[in-house]
Amino acid sequence: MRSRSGIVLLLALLCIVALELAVAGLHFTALQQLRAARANSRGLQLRLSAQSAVAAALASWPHTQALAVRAAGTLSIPGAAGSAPQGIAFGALAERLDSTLFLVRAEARSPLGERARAGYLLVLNDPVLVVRAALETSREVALQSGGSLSVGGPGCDTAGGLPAALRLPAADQVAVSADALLSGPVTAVPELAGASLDAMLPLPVADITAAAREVGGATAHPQPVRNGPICDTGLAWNWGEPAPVDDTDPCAAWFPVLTRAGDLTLDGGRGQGVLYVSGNLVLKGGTVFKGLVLVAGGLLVSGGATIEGAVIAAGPVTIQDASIAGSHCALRAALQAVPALSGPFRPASRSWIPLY
Amino acid sequence: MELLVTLTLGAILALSLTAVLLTQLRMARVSTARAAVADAVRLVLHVLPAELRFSSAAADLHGVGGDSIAGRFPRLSGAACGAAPGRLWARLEGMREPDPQKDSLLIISGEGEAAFVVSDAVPEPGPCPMTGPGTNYRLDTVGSPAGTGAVLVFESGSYYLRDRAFRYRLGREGRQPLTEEAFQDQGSHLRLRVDSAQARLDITVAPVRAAGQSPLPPFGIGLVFLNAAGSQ
Repeated sequence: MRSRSGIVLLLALLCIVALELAVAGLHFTALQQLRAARANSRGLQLRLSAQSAVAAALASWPHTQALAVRAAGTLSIPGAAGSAPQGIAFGALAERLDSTLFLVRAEARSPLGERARAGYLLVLNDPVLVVRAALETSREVALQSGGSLSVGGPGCDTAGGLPAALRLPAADQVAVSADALLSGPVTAVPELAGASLDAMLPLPVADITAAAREVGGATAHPQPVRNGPICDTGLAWNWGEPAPVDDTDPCAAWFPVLTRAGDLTLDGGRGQGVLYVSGNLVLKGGTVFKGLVLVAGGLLVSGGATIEGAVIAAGPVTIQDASIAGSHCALRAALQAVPALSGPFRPASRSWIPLY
Repeated sequence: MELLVTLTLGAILALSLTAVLLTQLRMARVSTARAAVADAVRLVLHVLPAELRFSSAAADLHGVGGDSIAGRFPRLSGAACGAAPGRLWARLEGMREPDPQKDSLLIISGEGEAAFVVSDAVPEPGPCPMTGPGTNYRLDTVGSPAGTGAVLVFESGSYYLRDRAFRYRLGREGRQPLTEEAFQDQGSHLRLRVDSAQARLDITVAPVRAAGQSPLPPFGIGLVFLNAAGSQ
């Protein structure tokens, strides 16, 4: 009797031990899964925190200090620092890679010492750093009778100005007639040959058009429109005042970003800002435009028209009885007064890069 | 009578314990199998996003099939310090050392991107600063790179969701499994969607169904590339 009850007890004990082992195994597996899930969740939080640090760095970008940083130097960005739940701290600093390019190095750390990093490339939005000539084109240039192309705009000190009057694929692609004027250095850049506007632009076209207002017709005659002390910026043809009589002119500070899908002809009038045309652009009838002009097609400037600032064109350019005057002052005014273009921008090719 | 009752109760107890034990063992097997599947799923959903998140869909992906994705994947990154004809010095950090047998080089500057084949790579300070993160390397290249800008070192390869496992093929080598055979080929797929605003890779993995188990639903994520497709 005693031995029989001993067998049952032993059996029960063995089963309980086996049961315990199975439960312990299950518990271990569940614990491992839980740890893996938590690690995944923390990794995701760290990664997003690092990306947040990049966003914060861009939002609080210290433009003036950045311009003063030497090559390979670093710039701390206090505004990029922050914290996330579970004790995650993040921050960023920027390293200058070349004359215009910065690498923002962002990092997020957990209290356990885990970290995630992200890199973001951005180009300084300083006109003289990204726009390198009064006229840049990937095709030929004809300076015909009465045409003028120069650098160093009126009333604008040439110090810190645009480095060239003309930038094109080859020096023999410019034809200057006897009574035309080409004043300033000419830079030949073979890589420009046949380049599209997208390839020539220092920032993606989408970044410009996202901030732009559409020019409604194929022909325009822009004029500043004032309503007492207020510039009527709601009007489609009010492109600001490029030649204000004094500092109190309310339209002097109005620099719209304009886009035209297709060809555009400006026949007289005046305006300022940034103008992007996806087709051909013609300026005639004494039109005055101050700022940055971007043309995906050809450009004809004639009939006493004037562009002060800079032009980037992907088609042939003809200047006849008209002028393009390169001016970094006009460029700076146009770009810095436009919120979408006043900060640094991402390179056209890619901006995010991995950091380890 | 007493013996009979004792034997009956003992038998019932033994049978019950055995049944519970068998159930527990089956649960343990199922749980272990599902943990293995979960590990494999987790690996796929970790590795592919980590490889592709910073990629440019237009520039870095060579092709996306229903069950595979081929491209160049970053292994090191950093900054260029200087250059000479056919030679670049760069300060790099990454998953491994640069390897001329596998790697290509991309230099990103304000002017754009330029790719180079790497013919040799050795640790060498050159003009690079001795302080700061990373290791200084001299990379011999086919062609003359610019001496400034961001540097990415890539490895070309292909990832597969094929033959019930997640696999990687480096260059022209054979496909190596990165996970156990934990997936169903049917139902596991990759789909790339690109428009002017963004590139997105939908990754779906269907776990294998073991005998006697209820099927697990497919797992999937939509990976949005940080670098917009329209910027290429």
